[in-house]
Amino acid sequence: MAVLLRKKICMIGSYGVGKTSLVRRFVESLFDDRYLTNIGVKIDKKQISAKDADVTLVIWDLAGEDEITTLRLSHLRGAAGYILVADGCRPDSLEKAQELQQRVRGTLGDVPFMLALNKVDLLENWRVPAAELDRLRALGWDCCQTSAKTADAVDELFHTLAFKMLNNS
Amino acid sequence: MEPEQKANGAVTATAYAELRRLLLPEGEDLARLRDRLHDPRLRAEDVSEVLPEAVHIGTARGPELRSSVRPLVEEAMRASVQKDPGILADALFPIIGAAVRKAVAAALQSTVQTLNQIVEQSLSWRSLRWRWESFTTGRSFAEIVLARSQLYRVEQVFLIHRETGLLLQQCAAESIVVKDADLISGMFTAIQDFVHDSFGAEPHQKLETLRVGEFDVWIQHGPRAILAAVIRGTPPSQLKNVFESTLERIHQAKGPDLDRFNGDASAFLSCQEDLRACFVGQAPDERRGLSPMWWLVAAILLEAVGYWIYAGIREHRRWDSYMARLHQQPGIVVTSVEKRGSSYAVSGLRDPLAADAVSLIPGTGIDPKNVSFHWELYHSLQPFFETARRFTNEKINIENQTLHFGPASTDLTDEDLATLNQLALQVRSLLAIAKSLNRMVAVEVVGHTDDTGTKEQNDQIAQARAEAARRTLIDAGIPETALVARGVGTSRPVRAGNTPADQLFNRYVSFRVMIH
Repeated sequence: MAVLLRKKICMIGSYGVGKTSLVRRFVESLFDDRYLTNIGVKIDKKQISAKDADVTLVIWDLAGEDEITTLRLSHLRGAAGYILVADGCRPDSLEKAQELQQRVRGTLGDVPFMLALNKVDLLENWRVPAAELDRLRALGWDCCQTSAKTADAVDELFHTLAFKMLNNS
Repeated sequence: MEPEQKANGAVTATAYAELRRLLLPEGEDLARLRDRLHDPRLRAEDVSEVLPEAVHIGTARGPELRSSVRPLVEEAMRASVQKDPGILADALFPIIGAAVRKAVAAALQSTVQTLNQIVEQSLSWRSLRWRWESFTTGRSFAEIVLARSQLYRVEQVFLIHRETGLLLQQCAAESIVVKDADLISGMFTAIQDFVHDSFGAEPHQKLETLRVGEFDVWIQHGPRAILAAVIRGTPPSQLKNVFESTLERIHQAKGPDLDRFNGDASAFLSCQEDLRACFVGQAPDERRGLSPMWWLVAAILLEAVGYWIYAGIREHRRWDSYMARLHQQPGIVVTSVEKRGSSYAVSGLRDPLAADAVSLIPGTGIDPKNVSFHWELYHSLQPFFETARRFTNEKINIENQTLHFGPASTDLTDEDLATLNQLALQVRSLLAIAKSLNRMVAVEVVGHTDDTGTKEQNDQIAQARAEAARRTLIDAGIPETALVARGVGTSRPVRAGNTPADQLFNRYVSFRVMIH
């Protein structure tokens, strides 16, 4: 019998980089997106199989950080992993993701995480240099170039994170 | 010599050692003991071996050990709390609830008793019913009041890992459809964080209640797990105790599992039974569907209808008894009774000598204004009426007789004597009839004069005329007691003029029947 596990993960990133769209691509949803703006988080889940285990990912989609909203660190508590989301067309969002990673690491410690560089379908507007990605990979970051629109690498993103979390625990 | 000396020396040393070994067989042990005395680590080991036993004996011997250890323990606890209050708080958590509950329960006891007294004073129908239930079940009255006045049902219970907000176990009452429990428990946690952060509450202040429509969500916080219960209706505050003790039991049984939780909830399957214990509730009493107001209205209506029927029956009976009276009455024959609304029209035959129908109404409870009569007059052939009519005839005959006198005369003529003889017969007959009718009668003999002469003379003559007639009747056999003589002088003349003819008419004696 496969082990049934539940893992909490968080979606973190700037406002408008497509966190919610990525989640929507991936999950079965119960709550309305309004929850995000109301209380700063929306929770969805997805059951996947990884390493002989059935893992229920409970995905906390945290409101994007902008000038007004700051990341509510209390929502991170207990997360087994997280996904940093940045917009490939907005280099500032990648910088923001790195800054957020520092803060999240301060709260959660060294738990597995993934970087999703989203909107890879808009290649003509792609402005993140490959060198920057290489630099991050060299630091040990796992990067996926995703598209919530075409579903490119979305499953891979979540599955890889699940795999890393199972290795970690 | 020299080697010999050496050999001697060796022998001496060996011999000495041998000698020492013979004399002091435990010399090495002694050295070990000496070493031991100088080595603090070994000494500590020694003490640790005997310490438990020493403490045991010391405790049994008396309070000295306890009092010498107490300051140490107190200081250690104080230091522990100063360093990290969480450790002791976590250690005490499973018992602190029970301790606080006990204290609070004692404090509430007196309050409940006051409540008891207040409720005792209200003798409503419901409180009487509760009192009966308390009497028959042996439970305290206050308990019944609390249980019966609050209706609720625990519908879902979630056991949530506090750190991650992940669902550990979940349980729902029968027929309850649960939406995704994983997401709901996550949202519970998120909402708590949200409320906590947004209102800047202290770390120990937690979101404990959510209320949505008829649902309450009660959240019970433990150090490592949260119990959230969805309750429909108005739960009593004691329900909190149930959740508290359930959560405490789970912490006691699953403390290490809660610490180690990595997403595998299988270790908490055995908590299902504990969670089931939370499904308490007071089933709605179907009879409570009607509000007391309806009962009141129904009671008033019932009373009104009851009174209406009662009044109808009462009036019917009154009327019947009145009709019976009328029927019993001789000389009255009722031929029809017509009811128009609340009034009656009675038609029939009535002998003029019969009793007045209206005079029979008082005492029956009927309003005389509501009754009208239409009588046809008739002569009843009943003996009573025959007799009564004969009485009336004799009375008229007697009262039609008169005696006439000459001027200033009181002498009775032969004609008068003949009249009086006949009158005596009539009076005797009247007295007999009156007796049969149970009536007392007397005949008044009245003397009259004309207006000549003085008043004194006339009064005297009038009295004498009456006396003369009375005496004659007595002589004819009429009892004295039935005859009264009276002179009225000129006060009642038959004719108003004063011609000789008029005066003749006015000099007379008349008779009147008096009925007592």
